[in-house]
Amino acid sequence: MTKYVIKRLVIAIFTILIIASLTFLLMNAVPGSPFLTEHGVSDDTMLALEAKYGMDKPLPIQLKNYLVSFVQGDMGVSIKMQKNRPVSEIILEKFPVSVKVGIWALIWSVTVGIVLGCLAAHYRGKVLDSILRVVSTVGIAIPGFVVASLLLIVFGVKLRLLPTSGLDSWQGYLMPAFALGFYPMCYIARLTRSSMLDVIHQDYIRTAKAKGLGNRTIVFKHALRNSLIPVVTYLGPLIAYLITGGFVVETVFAIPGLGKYFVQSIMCRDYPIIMGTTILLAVLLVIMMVVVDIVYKLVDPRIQLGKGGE
Amino acid sequence: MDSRIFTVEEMRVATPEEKQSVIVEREVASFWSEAWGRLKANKVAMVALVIIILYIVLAFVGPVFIPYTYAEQIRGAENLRPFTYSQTEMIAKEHGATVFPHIFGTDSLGRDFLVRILYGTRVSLAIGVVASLIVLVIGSIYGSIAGYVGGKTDVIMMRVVDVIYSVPEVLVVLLLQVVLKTPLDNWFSHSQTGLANFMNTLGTGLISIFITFGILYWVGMARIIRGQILTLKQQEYVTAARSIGAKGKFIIKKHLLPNCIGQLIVTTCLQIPSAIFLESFLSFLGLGVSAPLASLGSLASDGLKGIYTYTYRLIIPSLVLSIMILALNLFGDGLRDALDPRLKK
Repeated sequence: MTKYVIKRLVIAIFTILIIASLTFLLMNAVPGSPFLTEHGVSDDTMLALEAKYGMDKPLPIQLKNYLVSFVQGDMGVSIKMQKNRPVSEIILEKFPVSVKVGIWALIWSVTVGIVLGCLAAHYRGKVLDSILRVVSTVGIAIPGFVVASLLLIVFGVKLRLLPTSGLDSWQGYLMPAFALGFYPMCYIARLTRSSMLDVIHQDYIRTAKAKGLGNRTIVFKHALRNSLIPVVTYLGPLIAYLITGGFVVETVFAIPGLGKYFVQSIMCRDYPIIMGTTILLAVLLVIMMVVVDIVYKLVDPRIQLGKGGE
Repeated sequence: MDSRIFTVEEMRVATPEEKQSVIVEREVASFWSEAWGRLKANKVAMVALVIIILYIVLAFVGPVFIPYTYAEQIRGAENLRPFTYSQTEMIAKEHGATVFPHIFGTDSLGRDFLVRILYGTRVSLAIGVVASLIVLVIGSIYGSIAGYVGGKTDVIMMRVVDVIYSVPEVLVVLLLQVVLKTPLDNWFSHSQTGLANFMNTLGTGLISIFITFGILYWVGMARIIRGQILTLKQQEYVTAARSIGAKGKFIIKKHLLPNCIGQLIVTTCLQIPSAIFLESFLSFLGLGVSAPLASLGSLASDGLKGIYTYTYRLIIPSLVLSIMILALNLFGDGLRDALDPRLKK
């Protein structure tokens, strides 16, 4: 177990370091200085600015400095979006908004997905199963922005039931969270159904039936636990999806979260913000992946630890 | 075993007629004709195939029949509703000229919306196919080398795959968008070569999508192919080939990869919708294809701006895109079941 955890952690640290260095180097490779404006800048001002931001030093030293200060929570200051405001401050302001929407999406997609998956497996071949199968097949083919836009048109523009932008009231959360969680919900429902059907044919379920247990007890108490293991493996990609899906949903519903801000800063090339956000999100993702991997091994005692995954 | 006792009568030698009746006449089915048979029996996959063919025909042949181009801005014909005409077009019609109807209307710059949808579909399809081919080439070569050589090489190569696998790819695409823009734009404006011109029409957005697929997305393919090769290389014919002096490259090319053909096709096919998904996501955020070229994602993104008055401009590209991805997904699944029946659930 320890060996496995250490191995995963080493890979994770490697990945984070590679991402951070790559991000930094790529940003530095961009020709032209972020200080250039339409009015032109004199050479002296340029040198002074470069010295101020430490950009006159050799690249490896700049990289080291950046990483060290990043770990200390200093990600530099914004150069365009909100001039001279610390990036960490901006992220601290914007990120919680995204997290709130993301968590609601996470909660509803996982619970509803699992319940629907169980129902579909329970009523296999019946009408309910067919309906759910059609919905989930269509659901994983629809891009997030289509779901978000359709919701916006129907409930925001045509029916005027829900606010079309912002998160001022609880109603504001409904559409973004639904749109964000729809794809993972469908995916989880499919996953649960197929793994549930796998599990149902195993011996210990037959034993439970032979004992005379009710169908409901068998499905929800015996079968569900083991069929949830594939769902645990999906949690890593799910979190990645929620982060990137958030970019779209926040753009559609004009939510002042990190996703929308990140996309805007890419458009106007605010390098410190792009760098800070990319590295932060990447680190977050990699950590979540490791946690999910370890949890997965813990949940399923049948998996031998230390022998590495696939 | 059957425990009943046979009589002497039953044990006699069979007559030629009796022998003949046992033989079932069946054509020798090749791998492909068998797979095709299974695919044909799958109604969902066939419907999906028909839709895909329809899409390809419409996207690549359709624009020929429409007298407008995707970038042509018709003066005075801005923001037309479907099947309406601008004033100049009305006058032309009265004078007996035939004016091709704007079936889906025009956009805010007076461009025919149907043509833009058709071109957008073409762009999305092309991106899906090209990106998948990139994945196919890199993934299969990498995976087969790792699987065939084995040992330490395999371990190191698969560690690299592990690291790449955990890199969040969307962030990398976005990053590349930023980084590649200036150098590529410079190259386009200075170079006169055909390649530069061609890439200029595609725009930096698309190029960086292809690059991302080239450096990140092949890992899934590489893992699958490596797994296949690991089992295949134990087979006798590989030992035989090696014993008569065949080199690794030859064995991989002539013996191993052809035996993974099913896996290669299926994985490539399933990669197409995911590439289209990614492209539409980026274009929707305004980071994918650059104007005047359109993709379904960027058309939907434009549609979002006029959501109150021109709702259909958001709905049409969204539907076209969703149906396309759905059909590709379903066909890919059908293909998997047909080519590799063992995988069927």
